[in-house]
Amino acid sequence: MLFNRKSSLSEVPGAQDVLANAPLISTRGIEKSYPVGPGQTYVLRRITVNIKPGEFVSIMGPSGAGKSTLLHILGMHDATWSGEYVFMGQPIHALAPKQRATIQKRNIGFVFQSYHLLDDLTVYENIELPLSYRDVPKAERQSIVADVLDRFGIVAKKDLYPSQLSGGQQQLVGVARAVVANPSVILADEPTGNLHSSQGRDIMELFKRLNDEGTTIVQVTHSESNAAYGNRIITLRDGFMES
Amino acid sequence: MDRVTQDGPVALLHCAIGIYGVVAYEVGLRTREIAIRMAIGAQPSSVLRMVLGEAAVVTAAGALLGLGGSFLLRRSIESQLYQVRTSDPIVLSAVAGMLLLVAIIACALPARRAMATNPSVALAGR
Repeated sequence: MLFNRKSSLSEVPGAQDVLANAPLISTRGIEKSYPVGPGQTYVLRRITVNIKPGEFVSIMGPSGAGKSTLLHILGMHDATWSGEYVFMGQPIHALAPKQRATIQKRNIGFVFQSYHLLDDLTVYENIELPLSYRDVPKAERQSIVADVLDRFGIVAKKDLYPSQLSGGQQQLVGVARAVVANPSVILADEPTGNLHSSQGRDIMELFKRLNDEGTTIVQVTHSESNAAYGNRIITLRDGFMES
Repeated sequence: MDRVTQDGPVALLHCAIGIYGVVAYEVGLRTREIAIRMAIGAQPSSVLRMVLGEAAVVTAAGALLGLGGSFLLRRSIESQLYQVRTSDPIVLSAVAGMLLLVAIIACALPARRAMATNPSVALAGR
């Protein structure tokens, strides 16, 4: 529905500028809390964020500020929050879990700090997995995965298991898995947190390249140098947005 | 009632409890895998199908081995059975079917629990 509406709008003169400037991600008053004893402990308070297509945004703040929690909400991994979240014009807060999952798998790639590759699957199979959940035919999957392996320079590793790779290589596979389905946005939760600085730099260069090619990127990071790869910083502290 | 007839239901119950415990534990260990699959786009129904399918295959293989074992041991228990043949297809298929059902229930409960957990919670700290 969203995509039909977008294509018909894009035929209206001047509408493409409007669409390009419309936020890809827009939240208003997002709150997240856990019950603790008789009360509630708030992790996020009144978070209002707008992220346009093509932006490279870094979410920063001290530990416990709610950065990862916000990223998981934006990634639709967490449904227990209040407020409004609009993604590509779709009101996520008003959708059923199945509809959210459909939007998520079509549009969002997620990179985890701890890679979270499936240990029993080879590099090839890990990268292929998101495509299989998108009902991409097998022949097409083979061609897409071969292309991604080539782009990421990991063709020689395709039959290895995650335990046979270094941390940097595992994260490279994690990023390859996130981009294989050509998402509109990549959400990365401290993607270099477990890596040596040189490996971290490689991953950040990769994100920069993907962003230059048009992919919107939102990363959580503690590192000022990683944030410098982006064009905007959102700072959280104690669950509130500072900037 | 002879001894085998008395002990049969108890043995079946023990078997069912054992299968339930092992299968439920095994699926519980796969919480991380289920969370990752869902975080990268799996629908809950496809994850449930995968977990149940795998359990069905393993349990069916176990049931076939059991049927083979009962065939090999049929002579030693034949004299203790009353009005039931060692190769009674109804009894054998009922027992195998019941154990298969137990295994599928044992899979479905923890798998549904794992799927109801937000991936962010299931993967936190791992």
